[in-house]
Amino acid sequence: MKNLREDCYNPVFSHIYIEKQIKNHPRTERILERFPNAEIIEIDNYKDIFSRRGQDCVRQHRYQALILAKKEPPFFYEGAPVCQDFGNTNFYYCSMIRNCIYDCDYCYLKGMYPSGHMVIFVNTEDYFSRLDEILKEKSMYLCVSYDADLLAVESLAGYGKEWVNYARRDNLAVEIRTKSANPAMWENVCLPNVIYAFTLSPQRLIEQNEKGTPSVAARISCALSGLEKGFPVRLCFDPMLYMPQWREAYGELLAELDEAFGQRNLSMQMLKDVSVGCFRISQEYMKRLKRMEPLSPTVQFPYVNEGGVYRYPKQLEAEMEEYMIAELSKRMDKEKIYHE
Amino acid sequence: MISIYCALYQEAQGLIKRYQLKKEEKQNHFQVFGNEEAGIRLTVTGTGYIAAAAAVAEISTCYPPDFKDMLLNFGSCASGEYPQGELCLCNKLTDQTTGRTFYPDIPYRHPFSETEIVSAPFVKKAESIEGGLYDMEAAAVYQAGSYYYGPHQMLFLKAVTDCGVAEGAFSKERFVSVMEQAAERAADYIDRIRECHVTGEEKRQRELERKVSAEAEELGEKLHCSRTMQSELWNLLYYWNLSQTDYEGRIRKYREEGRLPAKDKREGKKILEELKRGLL
Repeated sequence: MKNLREDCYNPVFSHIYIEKQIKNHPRTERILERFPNAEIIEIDNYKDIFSRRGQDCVRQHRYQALILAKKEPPFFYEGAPVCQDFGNTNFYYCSMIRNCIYDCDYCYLKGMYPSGHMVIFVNTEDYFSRLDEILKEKSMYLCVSYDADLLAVESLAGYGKEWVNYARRDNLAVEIRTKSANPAMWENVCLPNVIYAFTLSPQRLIEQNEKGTPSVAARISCALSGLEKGFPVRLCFDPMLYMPQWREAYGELLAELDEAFGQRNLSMQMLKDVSVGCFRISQEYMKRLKRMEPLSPTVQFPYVNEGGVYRYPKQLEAEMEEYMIAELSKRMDKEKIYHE
Repeated sequence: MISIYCALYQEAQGLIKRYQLKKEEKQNHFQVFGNEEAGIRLTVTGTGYIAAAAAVAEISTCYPPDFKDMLLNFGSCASGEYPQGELCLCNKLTDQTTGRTFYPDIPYRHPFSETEIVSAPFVKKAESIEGGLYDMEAAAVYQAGSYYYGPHQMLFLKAVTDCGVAEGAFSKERFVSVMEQAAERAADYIDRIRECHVTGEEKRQRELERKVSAEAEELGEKLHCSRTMQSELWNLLYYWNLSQTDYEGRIRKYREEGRLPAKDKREGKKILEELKRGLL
């Protein structure tokens, strides 16, 4: 029996929808063990929940449900033009999880998906066997944490570790992008071709835009722990977000980085690389995102539509990116700085 | 506004009493009871899919719901699993005719049993009742309601009154008594969740939109804005308000310099561009 309490929303993952075809899958059973009190609802297809019309993604984050499903092909998609490929060829991404535990105002997922509930595809073996076939023909640069933050739900799904274990081969490079700060990720085997990419924003922008995420200090500390242990670490100043005091805010972020690197006797030269890029989003996603986040200054900024992509006015974008690139160039080789 | 749909008057009467609902005379096809102050409108749909769907469509068309509104399907059901009087919140609604299943979100904490309901086009016989709940409307209410409401705005509360058609199993008095008790519990729940349903953010958004619209209208007139300029101005004012940018100081300056009101549309456009450049 549940009771109405002051917080009227159901807790996150109080409801778990499970496709009938994978209800006995070992990963399903393992995930369910974590939620003995959840309401379990069997469904035929995850889209029966995920694709319903009229869903309110923002509100759904307050009582986010979990959907366990089987992914049907395709498993891998070509990287979008607005995404950074870091000079790699055969740039692909995949989504074993859809939607994020974090709730960032500007997240394109709110524009892309009709639902705020999280889907975990449990048939990772099918992803890996398809990848076996692809890798016989060509190498691949694969981003596995775009449509979710895999490491933020590592204790639940364990997919970061699965990717590390799979990646012990030559012709595959894997990027795991995250805003999480759980040092447990460094218990994974250290491989040169698995890159841990940390998205960093000034703390005041995190407070304004990135609900539920770790502080920038925690993210930096976690990234530096990985660097100390020899893991390939990437820092992503992408998306850079505008606020009237953006220069001051990003200056503070750089100072925080300098201090953290200095305290640990590390250098930014040790980073695999960094990326710099201002916020940009396709017009289709932006239209929906504006509706979803009516009170977010970051989302409601009067962006300019250039070729179907909303971005900051050219001059502002150039000013922000040039500032960051110039500052980073003082700290590391320019060749390691990627920008769109 | 919470729009409640009940198949029978006997199911509705507890809620009618509790919320002091008055019969609305202007409705032709269905009995509708409302209390504007309480924010409740209750419709007696009649039994079955068609009646339920028609009622939801008619009332939702006459009174189009928005983000803050909710739909409640409240009524009786049969069950072979739950005892008489149990009030259940349905998280899975199956239309027995088509085999399709629908899933309303369950956003709010609640004190009820949560379960699946099957909606059939006829009253189920006792021997065909298994686990779960059975009624004749829920799936139809969801399907019709989903044209007007999101899945987080629809609630399905069903009280178990019987275990299917069986000779002399149930008196009308007993039915009314079970439904009246269920109505009390349902109303307590409605009163509590309606407070959380309209969040502070949504109220703030409406207030901001009203403020910006008034400002945009006034300033737009002074700038001789075309429709496109007016829309751009609205977006800029909305953003400046959100980001707490001091646009009012700039506008005052234009007024003091005698440039506002602008002498024509061209000058208005120039001022708008200057404002944009200066404040982004």
